[in-house]
Amino acid sequence: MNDRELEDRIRASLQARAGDVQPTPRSGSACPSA
Amino acid sequence: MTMGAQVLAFARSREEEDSFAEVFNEHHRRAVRLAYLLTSDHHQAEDVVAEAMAKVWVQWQRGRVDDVGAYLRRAVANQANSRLRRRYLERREASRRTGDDRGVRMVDDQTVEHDVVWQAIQQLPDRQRQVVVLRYYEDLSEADTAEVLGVSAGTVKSSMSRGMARLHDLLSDEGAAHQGGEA
Repeated sequence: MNDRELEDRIRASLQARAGDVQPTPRSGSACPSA
Repeated sequence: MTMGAQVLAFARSREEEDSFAEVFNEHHRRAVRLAYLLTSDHHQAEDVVAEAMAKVWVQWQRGRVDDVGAYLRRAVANQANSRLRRRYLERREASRRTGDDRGVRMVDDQTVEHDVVWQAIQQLPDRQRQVVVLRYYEDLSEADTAEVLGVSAGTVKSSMSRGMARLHDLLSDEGAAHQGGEA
C-alpha cells in the first residue's frame, strides 16, 4: 500500500464515519445565552 | 434604561440571535462530525460543540469573529483536546488501580473497509489522531493544523509522520492477517 492509497483510505473512512453522525436536533434558540 | 432603549436593545439582540442562529445551523452539523472524529464519542461530541458554540457566541456578540468556521473549528479542537486529556488521565488512573489496560484500547472485529481504517485511526495517540483528522477530514495544511491545535508546525509534521507510519503498519498488518485468515 503506497502513501496515496493510504491517504485515500483514510479520507474515505473519515467521510463515511462523519456521515454516520447525526447531530441531535436542538430546540429553542440556538444562542447559548438566550 | 428607557423603554425606547430597551426596545432597541431587544431588537438588536433578536437580530443578533437570528443572525447567529443562521450561522449555528450552517456550521453545527460539520462541527459535531469533526468533534466526533476527534473524540470518538457521540455524547462528548455534542457537548464539545455546545461548549465551543457558547464561546463563539460570546465572541460573536463582541464582533470579534470574522471567520466563524475557522473560529468554531479551533474552539472544537480545543474543547476536544481538553476532554481527551481528562479522559486519558481518568483511564490511566483506572488502569493503575486495576492493572487492567483494556479500557484504553479500542478493539473491534468489524471487517468493513471504513471501519477497519477507523479502528486503526482510533488506535493512534490523541495528538496523532487530531492531526490526521484535521488534515484528511478538514483538509487543513500543516500550518493551519498547527494554528488550530496551538502547537508548532514541527509538532504537526512529526505527529503526522508518526501517525501515518503507524496507520500504514496497522493496515498492512490487517491486510496480511486478513489474507492469512483466508488462506
